[in-house]
Amino acid sequence: MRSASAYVWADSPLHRMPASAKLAGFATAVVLVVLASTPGQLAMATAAVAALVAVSRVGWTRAGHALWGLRWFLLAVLALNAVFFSSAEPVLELGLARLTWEGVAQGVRVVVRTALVVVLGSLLTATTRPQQITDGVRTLLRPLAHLGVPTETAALAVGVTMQFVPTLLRESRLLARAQAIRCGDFAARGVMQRAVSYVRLLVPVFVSAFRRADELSAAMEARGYRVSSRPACPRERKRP
Amino acid sequence: MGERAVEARGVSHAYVPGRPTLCDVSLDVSPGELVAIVGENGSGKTTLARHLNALAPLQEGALRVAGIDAADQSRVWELRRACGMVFQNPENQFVSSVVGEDVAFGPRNFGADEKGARDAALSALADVGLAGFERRDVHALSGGQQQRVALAGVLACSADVIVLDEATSMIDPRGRDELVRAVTRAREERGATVIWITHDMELAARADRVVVMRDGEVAADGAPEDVLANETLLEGAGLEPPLVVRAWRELEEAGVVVGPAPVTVEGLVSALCD
Amino acid sequence: MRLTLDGVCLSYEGSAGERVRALDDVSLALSGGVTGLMGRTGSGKTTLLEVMAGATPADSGRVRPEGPGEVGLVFQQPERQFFEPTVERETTFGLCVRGVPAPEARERAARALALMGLSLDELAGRSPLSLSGGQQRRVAIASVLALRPTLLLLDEPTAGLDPRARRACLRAVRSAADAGATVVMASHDANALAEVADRLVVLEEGRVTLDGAARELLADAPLMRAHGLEPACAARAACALRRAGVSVPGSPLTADELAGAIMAGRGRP
Repeated sequence: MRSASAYVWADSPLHRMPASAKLAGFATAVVLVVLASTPGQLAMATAAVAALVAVSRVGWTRAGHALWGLRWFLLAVLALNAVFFSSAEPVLELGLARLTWEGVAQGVRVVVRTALVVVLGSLLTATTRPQQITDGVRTLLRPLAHLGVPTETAALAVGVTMQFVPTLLRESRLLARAQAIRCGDFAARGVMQRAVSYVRLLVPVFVSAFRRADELSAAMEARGYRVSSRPACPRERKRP
Repeated sequence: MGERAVEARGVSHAYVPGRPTLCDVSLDVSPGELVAIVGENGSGKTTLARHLNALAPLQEGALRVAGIDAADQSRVWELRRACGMVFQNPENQFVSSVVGEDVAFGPRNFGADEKGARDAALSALADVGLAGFERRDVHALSGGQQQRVALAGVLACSADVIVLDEATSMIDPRGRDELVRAVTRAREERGATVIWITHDMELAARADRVVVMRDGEVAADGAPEDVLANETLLEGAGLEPPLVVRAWRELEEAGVVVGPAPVTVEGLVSALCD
Repeated sequence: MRLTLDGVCLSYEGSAGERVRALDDVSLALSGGVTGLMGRTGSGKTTLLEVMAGATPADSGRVRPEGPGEVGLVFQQPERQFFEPTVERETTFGLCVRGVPAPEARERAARALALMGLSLDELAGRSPLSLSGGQQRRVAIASVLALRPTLLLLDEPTAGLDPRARRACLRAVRSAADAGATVVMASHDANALAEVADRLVVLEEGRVTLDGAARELLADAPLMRAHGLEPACAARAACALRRAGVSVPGSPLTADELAGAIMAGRGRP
């Protein structure tokens, strides 16, 4: 019965900002974060994201929640980069694995970038309701309609996907708990076991996502939706 | 009274060749009727329902719904407007998280303009007892409310035939009662024909007619008093007669009562008070 | 397994940032038998089961399991959790993780499936996802039963099932309790609880508002309605008959008992 919606009820400049502006800002910010490579640039990007979190009034815990969920993944990324990225001047050598300072630096870069993008994404969904995101996408895509791009379909696809995110998140959490119980005390033994249990979790999550998508597409079809040759978009209809 | 709401003749269907899910199904439903379809999991109920609004293609036989030939590919769209469906899982049938937007989805697809779609949505919401809910988040509603939003989405397209596919199996009794009331109102005010697929024998007992499906075939089709009081038939189809019928049989055996078994609590009361 | 809950409270953050009380000072002592858990949607039944299973920690209060064995929790629509490619692997998974040797695991899975009216020999190699809805639910429940939990918690196990699967499910619930397990079954289905429950606990907005012998509470149609619940069909019939002036002594819950009560009311043995 817990709420799984990513949206955080608060009032902040970020909450009030139009969704289309936020989406455009998010895209720009992601590009900047990915381009940042020197320690100085990464530090600046981190400071900027931290400032955004402070302004959003979402709270540090909520903003970092998704990140915490990814901690094992990020740790693995760091470790793999550290031992496999480079072979020059190894600090430690063990078979194929060569721990290098260059690798560590690369791992840190990748982890920081990923973490920043995840926090930015959390911020976007915490300050924007799913419906607003859909409307934002529609607004941003509107110019493309003149080029014959099916923008209504694209906006609908985004909207439907956004809608499923909280449901799937809630379901994954439930599945994780269910599996932990089925495994008894044997669940959390070591990193390897943990990795295996993540994979086991993916199967039902995907099955469920596909089933939901299947049911939804039947429901949409039953209500007269056709991807191609729609009779008319509501907007086009308005013209006399 | 010319046209039937549903007219199926020898409809057969197989997802996998050689393993039919529907076998020579013939069924007539008059306009305004409430028909309950009961049967075990895998007896073909859902496949039949999916034929009614062309979600499953007609492979063999003839089927007309609201006077529209289901085999006519050019009229699929018309058929879907005339015959709407409410599905089992309320969460998986919404295209928008805003109630009003979702209800207006059907009318828009069927060619209504923005104002027409909104008006249809508002009036349909009022009809299911959810007036004033148009700005609410569908995911924050109870199961019963969600299913009524789905029903409103069908009513907003002014459907003549409403198919409910196990629409109450995932909601609580209170939600079920709310949905039953909304469906009853749609029948009274809009003259809608209702086909209700369910495992709930008490719900089936309140229908005008009950159809029993077994292994893809229609095993019985008749008044609830006849079909639901026939234990041999029901047990053969993997079903259980309503509790009232089972109690009546005990009384009959003890020689306390005679006559046809009632199928509802109200029927039992009037049978025992006479 | 005995389970004692003492002043358990739990709240979570609602969509509007408000605190929602899911469980409010719940105290219960469970030891053997089948306890039915009723309450409207959102009354906290699922949360309570998860707290009992130790899957969700309580904010305050104590949850004390005592005795040997482990907990089995059957979630709502447990068939959604399938992840193994075959029924055999799905039903033996929990046992294999616990180091039970394969032949014994298979034997226990077969017995659990048989209890649910299914045969492992027939289904072993099939994908759980290829089964019918009713079979899927039964396989999912069997894979928990195979672990022989001494505390078995089930959330709406009969919802959406056809009569055959429903009967198998109720039979399995009863036999788990008869074998000594403490069973808690959350359900909206008063008729199902009338068949299997010994004790009934009613939750409203996270509080226990009724707790007593299942038979007495379920048969009391006016009381059930006053708590926003649907009474068992036999109880509803008895209530309607009494209102119409027919004498129906006792508190019938099943078809047999209803018939017996009507006969007794007419002065027949």
